[in-house]
Amino acid sequence: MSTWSLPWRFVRFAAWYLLEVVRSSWSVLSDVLTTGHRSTPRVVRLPLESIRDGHAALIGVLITLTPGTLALGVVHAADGRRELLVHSMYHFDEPSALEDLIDMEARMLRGTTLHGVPDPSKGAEP
Amino acid sequence: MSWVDLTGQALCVLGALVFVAAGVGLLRLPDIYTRASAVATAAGIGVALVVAGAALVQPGWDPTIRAVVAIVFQVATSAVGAIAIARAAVLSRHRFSPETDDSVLAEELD
Amino acid sequence: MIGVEIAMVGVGLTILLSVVRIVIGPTEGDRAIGADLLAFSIIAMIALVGVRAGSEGVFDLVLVATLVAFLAALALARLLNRGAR
Repeated sequence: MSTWSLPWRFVRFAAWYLLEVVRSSWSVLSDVLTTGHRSTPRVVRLPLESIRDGHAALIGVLITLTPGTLALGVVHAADGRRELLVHSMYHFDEPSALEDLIDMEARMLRGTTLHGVPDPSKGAEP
Repeated sequence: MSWVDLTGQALCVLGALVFVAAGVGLLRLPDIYTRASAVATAAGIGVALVVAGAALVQPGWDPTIRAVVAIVFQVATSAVGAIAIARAAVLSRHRFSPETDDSVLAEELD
Repeated sequence: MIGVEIAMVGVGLTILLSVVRIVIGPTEGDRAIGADLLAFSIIAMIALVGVRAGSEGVFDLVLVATLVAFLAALALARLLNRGAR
């Protein structure tokens, strides 16, 4: 992707994120403000694609700001890659939670890096 | 009574609704992690909505610039604060509610 | 300014609810989270009261209160963890 499309990609990601916040606040509101509990809380390990510290911090902040999900901290996997512990309240099972979170991180990387997603064949960014 | 004023008041009410939801959630949700999740949303989005609404009700360049700076700081710091408290809760072994699937965390802490 | 007044009632209710959570606990972590929400609802209340009174400098107050609330949250997290990081 070209560098010059960055502002456009960023605006598109921001709009998508705002919609996502509205969508998920609906499920939280309808659970909290009515009787009974419908939450299925779980903790999942999200393998981070983000290489830079700034991106890892940003995805944690974005996940925490989304209603219903909360970042608990970063741990290191056996192969040295970073994983984010995420507490989710309204995902029915682990794969669906991971799918949503991985999708959010991919969109974030597309919206905030100069050339879009870093090409895995070229190895890690310096 | 202009459109700007009306929009500002609507944003204030919307932000207050987010706050009330977080307050009710703080009382009704079962454990510290779900409560922290509710509070983090209110702190970021609720305060941003209320401050943006207040800035629209009181128009002018000066309040607008200050409000934008305040919102940016608020959104950036509130989530980090909530993560810090949640992380401290995990490390100091605060319990998850019984229906929580925390098997991933159990192997991490041992 | 009826919208601002309605919002003040809602935020005031949230202040009460977070004080209730701080009083009943049951764990220190719950009290820390209650204190966090209390700080943020007071920030929102400052903004609303300032606009209702037509005050000029209210957003300066909000800005400073935001940064103090951040430091308070970090201090609470540190307390929960007994000073360890």
